[in-house]
Order: sequence, then structure tokens, then C-alpha cells
Amino acid sequence: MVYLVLGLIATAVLLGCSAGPVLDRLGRSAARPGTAIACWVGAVTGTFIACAGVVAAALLSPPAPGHGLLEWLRDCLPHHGGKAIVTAAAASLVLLAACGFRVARGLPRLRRTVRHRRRHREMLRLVASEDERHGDVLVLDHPVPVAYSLPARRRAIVVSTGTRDALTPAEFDAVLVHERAHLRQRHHALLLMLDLAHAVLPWPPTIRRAKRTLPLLLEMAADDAAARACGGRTLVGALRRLAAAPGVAGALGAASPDAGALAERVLRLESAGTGGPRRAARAAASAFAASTFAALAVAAPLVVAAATITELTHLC
Amino acid sequence: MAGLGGSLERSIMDVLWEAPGPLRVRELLAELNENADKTLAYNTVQTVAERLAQKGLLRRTRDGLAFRYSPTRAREEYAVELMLDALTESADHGSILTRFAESVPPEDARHLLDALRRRASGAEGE
Repeated sequence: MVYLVLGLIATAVLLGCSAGPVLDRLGRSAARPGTAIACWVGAVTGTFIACAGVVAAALLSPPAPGHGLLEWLRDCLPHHGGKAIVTAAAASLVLLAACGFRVARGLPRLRRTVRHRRRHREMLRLVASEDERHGDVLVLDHPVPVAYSLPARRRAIVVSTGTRDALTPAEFDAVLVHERAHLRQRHHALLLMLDLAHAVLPWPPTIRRAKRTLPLLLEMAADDAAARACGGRTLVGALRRLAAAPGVAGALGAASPDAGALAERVLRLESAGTGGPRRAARAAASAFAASTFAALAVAAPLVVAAATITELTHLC
Repeated sequence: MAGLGGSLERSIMDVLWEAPGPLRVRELLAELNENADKTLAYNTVQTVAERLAQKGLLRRTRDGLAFRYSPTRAREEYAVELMLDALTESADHGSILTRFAESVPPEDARHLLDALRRRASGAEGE
């Protein structure tokens, strides 16, 4: 019993504190962003399950009233001393209040995000116009170049006229393929879930690092789709032109935004495509390792938590 | 434009944004039917204008027995708000969209949009 609880706590600490830094070190050099994304999602989900398991175990352990709830039929409370029961009840109350407080932070945030997205769509409906050549694109009449996507049944990609003017037709197509990849791979849902996880449980280093690293990895995954379809050079051209925004950012004396992330994307695209069969084999091996890790990161806390709670029901 | 959902709402907004001042439903109707292949009924336009007023997109002022309608905000303001959403992150909620590349540092976005708007309105005034 004690070993199970210790195991559960160890899983939570291992996933929550160590998985993130390790993934951060490995992930940057990973050939495929998809493998890194799978690892991060596995680690974040596992952290969450492990933490929830620890809380559940604490609430259900013998003198706590949660255990009484569980063991109502067996009538086990009388065995425990009155003092122990009161202490455990107070501890449970504090724990429950803390959990409730965290969840109460996360849910309104989710509601605000969804509401803001809906409002954004409504404004688009009023002022954006449909692109004649592309059935899934809305055009916003504004000189500042911007291209983005937000999930919607129709016309989920939005570009400003500034973007259309700044890019060649081939570069423009690459931007659209990039955004379509985001939509197809449901990156918006992933980002929403990640934000929620961070709002509810912001302390584990794994979750903090995931929030910092995952968006860039998602960009890279979409970059790969665009580079496959339109060529890496075209995509780099589009990135350079849009990120530099000549005459716009420069006029304000603004530094290039988020230069690190952008430079990393460009560098990666430029160095890609030089790999031979060895590189492909390495990518396959790392994909296998990544899927094993992701499955383990989710399954291990799930199994240990389930075993602990089952054990608790037999214990009195 | 016809493909967008609620395209009548959009057409009404377009007419009112172009109009020199607040319009009555009858004037609005005439403007809408002028270059339409399907003529709209008075009641339809009135209902939709009323709905837009309830949503806060139109302002309603009494004029005799009827009402005059005008947009509460200029078209450009909506465009600027959309651009701000597209260029900045909000601490208040999670991400609502994924952008291709950050063309402007989020903290500079508002200044940039304001500067552009001033330049645009200055050019019109000259």
C-alpha cells in the first residue's frame, strides 16, 4: 500500500519536474516536430493524471471522510479515533477547497477564450470579404500584413490585404498550406487544452516548459507540411517577408519580433532536405521511442493511481 | 458577398456605413433594393435592423413615428479590433488563433495600428 502511494507520488514528481527539462533538451534537435509534440502531450497529460491521482488517494485514504464515502457500506469509520477523523476531515476540506479554487480559475478562462473567439468570428462576418480564388480564405482590408487561422466550419483562414501585397503568389500559397495544416492537425484545440492545463496547474516545470515550447513545435509541424507542398525556400521567403514587415515595423523603430523563434524556424527549414537514408532511419527510431514514451507517460500514472485507489477500498 | 452567413445583416451594415447619416427603414430598403436582383420586404429589413440594434451594432434614434438607424462604430474600428486580436496575445484568455508569423511585436501592435489610422484619416482630410 505504502509503496503504491509512494510510486504514485514519484510518478507525479518524475513527470511533472523531470520530463519537461529532459524533453526540452532532446526536443530541439528532433528531426520531426510531430514526435516531440507527441512526447509533450504525453508528459502534460501524464502529469495531470498523476497529480489528480495523488489528490484522489489523499482524499480516499482511511481516516479521511472521502474514505468513509467509499466505504460507507462497510461501516469502517468507528475503527478510527475521533481525533484522527477530525484532522483528516480538516485536511480533506483544505485539499478540496484548493482543488476547487484551481478549477474555478481554469473554467472561466476557457469560457472567455471561447466567447472571444466567437466575437472575433462575428466581427469577421461584418467586415471581412471572401477571397475569390480560395474557398477557405477571408480577406481583411488592412495594410499591416497578418495571416492566421481560427477554427470554423467555413473560411477558417484570414489574411490581410497587406499580406497579399507583400507576398508572391507561390509564397501566399505556402502560407495557406501552413494554416491549413494547423487546422487539419487540430492545433487550436491542443493550444486551448495546454492553456487550460497551465491555468489549473501552473507549477510543474513540465507544464511550464510545454507552454513555452509546444507553440513553436506546432509552427514547425505546420512549416513541414507547407515545405513539403510548396518547397522550403518559398516558405522561408514568406516567413522572412512577413516577419520583417518592411516599412511597417521599421518605421516605428521596432525590433524584429520574437526573433529567436523565427530564426529557429528558418534555420531548420534551410538545413532540412540534406538527409539520406540514415537520417530517415534515425527519424523512424526516434518516432518509435517517442510514441513509447508518450504511451508510458499516460499509462503509468493511470495504472498506479487506479491500483492505489483499488487498494484503498480494501483497506480500512 | 452572398456566401457569408447572415448576409443581409452585412448588407445593411454596408449601406449604413456608406450613408451620410442615420437612415429610416424605408430609405435603407430603397438603398438595398436598388441593385439587388431580389427585392426585399419592408418587414424583413426592419426585423434584421432591430436585431442588429439589439446586438449593439446599430444605434436607434426616434424620428417622428419611425426610427432612424446608424452604426455604433465605424467599419475601420472593427478592422482595427480584428487586427489587434490577430497581432497580440491576451493575458485574459488563451489563444484564439494561430498566426503564420509575428509581423509586429505584440506590445507595439496598438501603437502601430493607431499611427496607421491617424495617417489614413490625415490623408483624407487634406
